[in-house]
Amino acid sequence: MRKVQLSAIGRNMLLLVVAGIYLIPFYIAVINTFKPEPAIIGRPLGIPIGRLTLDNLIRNLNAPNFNVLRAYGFTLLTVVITLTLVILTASPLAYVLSRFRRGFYKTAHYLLLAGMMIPIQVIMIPIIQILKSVGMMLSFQGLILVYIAWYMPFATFVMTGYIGTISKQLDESAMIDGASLVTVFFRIILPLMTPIVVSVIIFVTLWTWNDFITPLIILGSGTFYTVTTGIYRAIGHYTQKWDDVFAILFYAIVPMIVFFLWLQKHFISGLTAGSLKG
Amino acid sequence: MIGRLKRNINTIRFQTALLFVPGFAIYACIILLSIVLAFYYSLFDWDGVRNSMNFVGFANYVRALRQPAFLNSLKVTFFFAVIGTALVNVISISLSAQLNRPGNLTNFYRSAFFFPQLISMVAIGFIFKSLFSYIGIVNAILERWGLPLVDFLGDPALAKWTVLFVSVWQITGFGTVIYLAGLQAIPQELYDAAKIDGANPWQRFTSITFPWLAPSLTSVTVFIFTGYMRMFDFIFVLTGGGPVNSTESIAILVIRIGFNQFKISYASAVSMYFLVLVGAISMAMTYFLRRREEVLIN
Repeated sequence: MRKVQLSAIGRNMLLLVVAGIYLIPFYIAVINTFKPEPAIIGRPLGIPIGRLTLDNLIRNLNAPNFNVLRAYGFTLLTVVITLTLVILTASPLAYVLSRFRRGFYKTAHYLLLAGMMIPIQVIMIPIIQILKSVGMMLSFQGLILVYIAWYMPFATFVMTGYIGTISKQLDESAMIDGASLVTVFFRIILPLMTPIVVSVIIFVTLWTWNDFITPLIILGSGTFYTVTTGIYRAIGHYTQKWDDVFAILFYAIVPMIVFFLWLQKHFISGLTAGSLKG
Repeated sequence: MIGRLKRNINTIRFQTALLFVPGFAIYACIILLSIVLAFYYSLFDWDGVRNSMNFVGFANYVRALRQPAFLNSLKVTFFFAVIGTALVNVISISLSAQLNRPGNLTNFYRSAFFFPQLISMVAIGFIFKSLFSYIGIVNAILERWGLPLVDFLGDPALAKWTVLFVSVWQITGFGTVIYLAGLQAIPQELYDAAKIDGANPWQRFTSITFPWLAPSLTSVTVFIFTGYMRMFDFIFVLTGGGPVNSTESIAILVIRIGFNQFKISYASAVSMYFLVLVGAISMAMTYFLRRREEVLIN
């Protein structure tokens, strides 16, 4: 009995230390957001209760290269439009790939699966040439177009698996009643796909919000920036003003944490289901 | 009757195509076309601006094999991928084994480890840059304690370990959550039976836990190894590939020669190596790990 308790204490000590390694960087980033600059380097870990301040946050709400609300708005718009179009195009595609598994559609399915292995840096150079030739470089439309194409393999992969679990008899009985294939899909199959659509929404939101290289290269140094490219612009390579850095990072971190706390259950179950299936 | 049937089949064909085309066309016109174009560019000598393109065959591919920068980037890429994957696997399997017990703190720990998955690698990179930069927080603390300062990001021998640390820190949370899900699928009776047979905790781990984790191990290993090969944001923010190319992985190299030096053709040839390498390694790893799973199960 004694031995059991001792090992339980040891185990919790170990886990606490590891949890500490995980939480301390966040602690430092968050607490120093509210401190004046001298206190950051002087006492990085301390909490000077009397001297906590909102100055850093207020000052950086509109930094020279980076307006927080503009970045939030632009990124949110990118996420919403990307999601809408990904779901509208990937779900019917997944339906066809799931129900017709021969000939051309089978080849198409393999071509989509192969897309999940491509490193994005490989296609960046040609994508720019493609976008230039249709006049979409440095534009919102160009960014959205690349995102839709980029998420297509993942979205169809998980959706095809999910549609496989929906009985084919549903389609058949509806078609005997005279419904067309398009009607069957949008009226019967799509509503049944809600759980997998929620998963896709969570992943695509997280990835798009946090993505860096795509907006970095497609939006370049033009007028638009997302949260990630915005903080990169604002902080850059040589900034040493940690009070500004922490305030900007604070703005970057908060939205995804709120999103997580809101959808916590879906997050972990979606993540594990998605990766174990692969 | 037959005419009607034929018409029906044709409408179904047409409607199938209608559902299929929008999604696949976008994918084909952006992603598939890009791969074809990257291969096409790699066969020429082109800077992306000139109208004239000289066909040079596989000269860019041959040239890459003689370039120290390219060979160095392969070394750096495999350094991150091999050591990173090994560390992430060892740490997350041990952590998840510790977490897979009833206890009210389990949820707290799981959330703590999961936290870094939510935040962009750019933001994480900058948080650690503020800690590890020469004038950063860690050195401020070392100075107060009278200890010598460490140039975590500026010393070529140390910078790659710093980047590795940050990436392991972030990815371990993901591994732990996946392995925890795998552990929870192991029937408790197996452990009970092993205890009755007198197996010690280490024997229980090697004969029950580890074999049962095989499917999770396959997916985590392939995912993380190829993820490491593609790692970009951390390196870009923390070191930009420096100092003296010590952290310049192939992903960073492609972007540098393509976008800073405008050697479109040469960058395309390097990116083709990159593509084939990632594709071949993920297929080979999946094949061998799946075979290992079958051996373990039987």
